[in-house]
Amino acid sequence: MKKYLISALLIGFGIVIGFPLFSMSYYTMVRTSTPEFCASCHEIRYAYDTWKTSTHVNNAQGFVADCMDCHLPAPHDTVNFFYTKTAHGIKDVFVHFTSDMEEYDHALQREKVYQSFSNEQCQKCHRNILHIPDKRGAMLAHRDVIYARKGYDKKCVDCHRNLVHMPREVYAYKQYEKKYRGSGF
Amino acid sequence: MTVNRLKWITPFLLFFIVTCLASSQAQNIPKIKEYRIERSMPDEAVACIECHKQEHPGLFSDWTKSRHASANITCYDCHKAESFDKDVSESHYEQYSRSDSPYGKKKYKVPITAVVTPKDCSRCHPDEAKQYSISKHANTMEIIWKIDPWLNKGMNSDTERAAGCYHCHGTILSRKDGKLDPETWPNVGVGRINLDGSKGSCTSCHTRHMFSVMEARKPEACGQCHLGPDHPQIEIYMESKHGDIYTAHGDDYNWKAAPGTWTAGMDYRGRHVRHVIFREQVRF
Repeated sequence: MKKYLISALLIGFGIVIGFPLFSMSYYTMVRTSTPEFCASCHEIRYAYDTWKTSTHVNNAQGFVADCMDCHLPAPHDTVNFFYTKTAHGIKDVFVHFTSDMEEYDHALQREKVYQSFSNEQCQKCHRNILHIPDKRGAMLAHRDVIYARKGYDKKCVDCHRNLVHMPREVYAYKQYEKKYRGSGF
Repeated sequence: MTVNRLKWITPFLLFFIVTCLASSQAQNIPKIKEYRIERSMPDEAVACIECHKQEHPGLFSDWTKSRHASANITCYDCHKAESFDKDVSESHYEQYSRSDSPYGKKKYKVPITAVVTPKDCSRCHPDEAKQYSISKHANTMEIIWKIDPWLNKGMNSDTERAAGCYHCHGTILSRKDGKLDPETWPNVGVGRINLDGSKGSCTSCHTRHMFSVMEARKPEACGQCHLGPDHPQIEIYMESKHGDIYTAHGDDYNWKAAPGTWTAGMDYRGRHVRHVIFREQVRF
């Protein structure tokens, strides 16, 4: 009897401790996943401002791709998402306080991000790219990437560069912009 | 018989006379205009409207007459900002801790900017803002510094430049002591260099806050800047037959209509380039 009581107490204790801990860390994750939160660092404001005027925010569908959607593994890839996000967060805070903000080089960072981008990030949303009735070239290029032959791997961002984080004088609504064409390989 | 009939008619006659009198008096009583918000808008926007209704009744009543107001476009839609924007108003935050207004509360607190740039307008008018951004108007600062000897050779004083050049051509907005430098703002010059990276000001022609089509269409709107010895367009126009016809018959024109065959800002080459003025080749 006493044995059961101890295990019940331990489980109850686990729930009392575990539940708030879990919900608090979940809440923290949600709160720190918004573009506005990212923009609380000076270094990111350029990225935020340019993102806000881009077609990834302004389109006829009202669809918005947040920072997380492109720059972190999918949230359903839970463990990877949590660890990558935390690692990035710690690195960002460390670099923010140890280096000179004036030396933040957007061009350099852009290249670093392109290097680190995996195709899965883009394909979380852009899944239907193998059948494009009005752009056969793009369609064939996508087949080359998705079913890449050995040694011929390519990244989405190899062709689709300078898409979001470009300084603009006006909001770029997708439906009013020139028909999109990838910058090419 | 006649007397009886009169008796019968009298109350009706009396009623008729009294109603006539009452209605004629009612016409002399001025109708008090009321303003009610019966639209869906965020609470923050309601706070802006209600507070500015008290603080700036002129500005407020202009806005109520505007197409923006009837299309449910509030103060906040145009004046919204990010807390870290370079042109954000720090002093406006203090309004949200006022005790003498029911809207001076923290829950209504939003970052706003006084400067509404073409970029801000482009949230709803992207085509117009894009056309404007490549026009001579938007790029006039670059142009005057390229061609004007008075500026380049230092032949005028700072005061002359402020009043004679930058008033119309625009200032380079900057911050000083935590707010917009009073040397550079307020200014609605067509080529103003804004802190958000955009150029110009839609308010030069589309005067706030009525945004009246009539105001922007009349030659006098252009004449605010296109005047004087170095660009005497309004004088030339008013002295021409066109100007004379406008002066004589302008009152009969339908100024509230959308631009017709030619109006200021409407390029004669086509309807798609309304905000591109005097550019040789424009392709979209």
